[in-house]
Amino acid sequence: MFRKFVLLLAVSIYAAGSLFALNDHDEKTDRKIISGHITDAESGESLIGATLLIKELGVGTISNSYGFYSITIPTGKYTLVSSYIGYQNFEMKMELNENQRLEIELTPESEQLQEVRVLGERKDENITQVEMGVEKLQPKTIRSIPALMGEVDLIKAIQLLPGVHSTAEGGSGFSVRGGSPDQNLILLDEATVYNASHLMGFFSVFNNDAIKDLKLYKGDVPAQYGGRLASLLDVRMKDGNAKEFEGTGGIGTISSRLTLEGPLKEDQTTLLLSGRRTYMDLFLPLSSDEDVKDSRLYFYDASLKLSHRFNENNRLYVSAYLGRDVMKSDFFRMGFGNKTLTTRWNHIFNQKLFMNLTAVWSRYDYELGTPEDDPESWIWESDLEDLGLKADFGYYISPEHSLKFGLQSFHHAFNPGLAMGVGDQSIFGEYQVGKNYALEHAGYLSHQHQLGDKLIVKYGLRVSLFQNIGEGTVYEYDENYAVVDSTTYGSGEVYQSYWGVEPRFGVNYLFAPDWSLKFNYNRSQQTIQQASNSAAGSPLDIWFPASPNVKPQVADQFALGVFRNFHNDWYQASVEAYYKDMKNTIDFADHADLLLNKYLEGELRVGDSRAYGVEFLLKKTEGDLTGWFGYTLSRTERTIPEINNGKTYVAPFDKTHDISTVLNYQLSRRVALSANWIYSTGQPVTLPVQRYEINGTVLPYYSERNGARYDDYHRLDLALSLQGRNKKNRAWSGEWVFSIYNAYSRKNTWALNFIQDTENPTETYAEKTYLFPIIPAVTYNFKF
Amino acid sequence: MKPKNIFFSLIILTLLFSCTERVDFELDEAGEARLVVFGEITNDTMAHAVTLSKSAPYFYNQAPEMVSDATLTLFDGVITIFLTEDPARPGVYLTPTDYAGVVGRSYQLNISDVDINEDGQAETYQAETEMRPTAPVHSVAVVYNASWDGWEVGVFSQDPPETEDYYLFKVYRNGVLYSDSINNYRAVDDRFFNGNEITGAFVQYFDEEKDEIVEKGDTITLEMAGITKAYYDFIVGVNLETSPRAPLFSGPPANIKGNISNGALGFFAVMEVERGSTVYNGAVVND
Repeated sequence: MFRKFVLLLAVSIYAAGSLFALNDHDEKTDRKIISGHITDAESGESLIGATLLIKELGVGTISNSYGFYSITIPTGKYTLVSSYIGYQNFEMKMELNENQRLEIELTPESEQLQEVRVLGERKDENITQVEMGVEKLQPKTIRSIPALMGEVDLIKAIQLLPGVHSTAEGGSGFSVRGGSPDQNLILLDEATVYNASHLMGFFSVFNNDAIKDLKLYKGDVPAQYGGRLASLLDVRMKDGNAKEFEGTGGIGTISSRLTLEGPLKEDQTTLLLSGRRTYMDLFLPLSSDEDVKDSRLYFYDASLKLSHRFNENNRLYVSAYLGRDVMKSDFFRMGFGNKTLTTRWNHIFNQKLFMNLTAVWSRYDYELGTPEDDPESWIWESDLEDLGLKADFGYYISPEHSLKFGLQSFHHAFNPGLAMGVGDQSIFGEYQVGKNYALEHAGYLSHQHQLGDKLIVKYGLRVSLFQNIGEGTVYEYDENYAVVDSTTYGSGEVYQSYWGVEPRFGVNYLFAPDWSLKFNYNRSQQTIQQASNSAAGSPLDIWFPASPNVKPQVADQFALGVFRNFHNDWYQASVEAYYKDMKNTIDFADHADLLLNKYLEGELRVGDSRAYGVEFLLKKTEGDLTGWFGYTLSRTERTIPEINNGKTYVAPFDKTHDISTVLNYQLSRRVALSANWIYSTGQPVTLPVQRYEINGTVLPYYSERNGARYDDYHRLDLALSLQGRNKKNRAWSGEWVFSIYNAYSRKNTWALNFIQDTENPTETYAEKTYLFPIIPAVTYNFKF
Repeated sequence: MKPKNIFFSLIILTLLFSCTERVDFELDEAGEARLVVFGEITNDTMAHAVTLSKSAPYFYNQAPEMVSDATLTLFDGVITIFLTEDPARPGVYLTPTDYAGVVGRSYQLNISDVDINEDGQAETYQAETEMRPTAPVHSVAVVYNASWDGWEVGVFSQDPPETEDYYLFKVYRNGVLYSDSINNYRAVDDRFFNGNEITGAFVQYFDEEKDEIVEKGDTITLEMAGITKAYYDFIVGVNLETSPRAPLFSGPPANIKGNISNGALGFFAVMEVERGSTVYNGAVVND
C-alpha cells in the first residue's frame, strides 16, 4: 500500500513538474515572474509570511513557510516594497523585462525596539488576507509574557489568545473553541507531536529559543492539513544562522537552556543545536520526607536542525527533536517523551511552481514500572509511531490566482499497552492490549482567487481515506457494551475504510483599506483521538484510531468576522463569531477503564456536540505600550444518549466568559515591564446532591453531569526585564527577567473533593485543592 | 499490578506544590430520597444480613434513616426464603440461621412494602445476581513494608485459566473483621495473572499511619471471595468515588452503578468465600 503511494507520489510530482512547466513564460500576456526568498539580513533565517508589494500595481504576495515567494506581472518599471513585522521595510526600483530571481534580505529593527514592537502580524495583513481565525505569535512576543517559574512557554502564550484556554491550572493542555485537547493538531516542522507536555503537563515540550514562528489556526485550517477538529498549531523551528556563529541561552529557576547555531558553510549549510534540562530534582535531596529525598524528577529536550542549499532551486532541511521526562523513586519509575524526525526537500521547478517533499517520522512512548528485584516487579509500556510522506505544491499563477495542492500518506502503528511481570519469580503474566495499524491518505487542491480590488475567495477540497490494516483484532460488542465476538485480521489486510470529503471555503470582502468582512466554512474529519477522561490529561493517555466500532468524528465550522484597523494600523480590532457542529463526538462511560484495557472501545459513548461563540480582540502593535485584550463569550455542549440520561450537558472545557489582557510597556531602552491578567468562568463540575451509606462508607449521588462550576478563575502575572548594557567590543549581551506568577495569590480551584471526616464519620465536607500561590522566579538570558 | 498506587504517587509529586482548604459549597436541591440496599450472602451457613436505608441530602451529616417493616424474599432457583427484620437493629433483615449460598445458583432478592418517596403507595424493588466460585487459598503471608509503613497481606492461590475472574479480599485481625466497610475492601480482576499461580500477591493492607497496627503473634485471616463483574465494578466505583480527585487522572464523578431496580442505590451480592490464616512473625522488608 505504502509502496503504491510512493509510486503515485513520484508520478504526480513528475506530472506536476512537466505540466506546469509548459506555461513558464506567459508569452501571450507578456508577463514576467519575480521570485526568490525573503530572509533576515543578519541571520539568513527565512521569513514566513513576509509581504512583497508592487506599488504601482497595488498587488502583492506573501512568502510561504520556507520564505519563498513568486509573483507574475506584466513587464514594466516598478517599485518593490517588502515588509515584515520587526524589520525595516525594503524598497527597490526595478525594470522588469525578463524573469527575475530576487533574494530579499530584510534588516531587523534595532534589538530593543524589536523586543516590544513585535506583536504578531503587522500593518494590514489581518485585513487583506482571506484567512481568519488565525493567530501568529513570534518567539519575541512569547518571551515578553510573564511565565510560570520563568519558563517561557509558547503553549501558555497561546492560551492567552481569544477562543483558546488552558484545560487546567498551570497546564499545557489547551482547548480551542471548546474542543478537547486531542482535537488540536500540533506540528513541529511537519511532525505530529502527540503529547506536548512535560512534567505532568505544567510545561510544554517546546524550547522557545529554537522556534522561529508559530501559527495557530482556530478554524479555517488550510486544505493541506486535516485529521483534527479543533485547531492546527504549526510550529516551525529556526533553520540556524547562515551568516555567523551565535549562541543564546538562559539560566532559570527550574531549568537551563542553550542554543548554538551557525553556518557550517556560509550561506549554504547551517546547523542549529538546542537543549534544555530542568534541575528541580537537585533540590529534592533537601526534602525532609524520605520518599521525596530519593526521588528523581526531571525533563530534558534537545533539537537539531540542519539545512543545506544545493543551489537556488534546491534546499534540504533535516529537523530532529527529542524530549523526555523521567521520574524515579524507591518503588516506582516512569519515563515518557516524543521523538520526531523530519526531512524536507524544497524544489523550485520553475519560478512559479514550488514543491516541498517531506518525509516524517514521529513517536511518542512511555514506560513505567517498579524496581526489578521483586516477584511483584512489573513494567508497562505503550507507544505510537507515525511514518509519513507528503508532497506539497504551490503554484503562483498570477497575483490574482494561486493554487496549492498535494498528496500525503501516513502509516500509524499503535501499541496501546503491554504490561508484564519482570523476572522468573514474577507473579504477573503478560497482558497485551492489541497492537493495531492504520493508513491515512489525503489529496487536496485549494485555489485562492482575487476578484478585483475588494474580493478574495479561497476554496479547496481535501479528500481523505482512512484505513485500518491488519494485523489487528476487532471485538464486537452487544448493546450493553459486553464483548460477544472477535475477529482477527491478517497482516496488511484492510478491514475498514472511511472516506472523508472536506470542503474548505473562505471569502474576504474589503470595504475599505482598513476594514474587511470575512466568512469561512470548513469541514474536518478526525480519525485518531485520545482516550482521556480527565480535565488536565496525563502522559499515560493513549491515542486510538477509528475502527469498525468507532466512526470518524466530523465537524462543520462556520465563522464570520469583521476586521478593522485604526490609527495607521497601530490598533487592530476584530470580532469573530463561530458555530461548530460535530458528529460522532466521543465521551466515556461512567468510571471508564481507559488504560491497559483490551476492550477500550466498549468504554466509548458516542453522540453529537456543538460549539458557538464570539471572540473580540483589540491589539496594539506599535509604540512603547503594546499588547492585546481579548474577550470570548462561548458555549460548548454535548448530547450523548447514554450520558446524563441523554440530556444535553456542557462539555468539560466550556467556559462562558474568558478575558485575557496582555501588556508590555517599554519603560526605557533597557527596562520593560509586562503583565497579563486573565479571568474566566470556572470550569464545569459535577457535584453531589445526595449521600447514602454502605456499611459505614458515605457515598455521593449526583444529579446532573457538569451541572455546576468552580469559582471564577482569575490571575495576574507580572514580569520585569532588565537588559544588560551592550558593550561595544563584546558580543555577550545579557538580560535579567524577574517574574511573579499569580501575583495576588488567588486560590484558584484545581480540584474539589468531598471527604468523609475520619474523626466523625457521619460528617462530610468539601475541600478544594489549589496549586501555585504566588510564585516568583528569576531567569538570566544571554546571547553571544 | 496496582495502577491506583502509581497514580497516587504521581499525584503526591504533583501535590508538592499544592495546598488544600475547606470550602463551603451550596449544592443543588437534593430531590426525592432513594432506597439504599446492601447485602452480601456467602456459602457460610449463618444468618446473612441485608440492610435497607434511605439516601439524604449531601450535607445531611447524620446517620442514615433506616427502612423498617419491609418484606424481603430471596429466591435461589430452588427455594424461596423470607428475611426477617432484626429486632435489635432496625432496617437489618436476616436470613434463617441455617441458610447458605450455593455456587452456580442465580439469586433474586425482592423488596416490597416500602414507601421511600412517601407518596402513600408502596414500591417494589428487585436485585438479581449469581454465586461465582472463588479460588482456593493455599496460604497467607504478612510482612511489614518499610517503604510505605504498613503491613502487606499476601495470598497464595491458583487462578483458573478459562474464566475472567474477579476477587474480593477482606481481612481479619485476631478474628475481628478489619475490612468492615466497603472503602477498605480490595477487589482485583485477573487481567494481569489469568491462569497463573498466585504466589504471595499483595491483596490487603494495614496502614501504620492510620494506626492500623499488626503486632507480632497476631493471627491474620484472609478471606478471598469470587464475585461477579457487576460487584467488582461497584467496588471499583466506590474506590473511585472515595479517593481524592486530581485533574490529571480522575474522570468526571459518576454515580456508582448498583444492581437494584427501580432507582434504588447499593448492591446485593452473593459470593463463595475461602479463608486462610497466618500468625505474623514480625517479618520486615525494604528496611
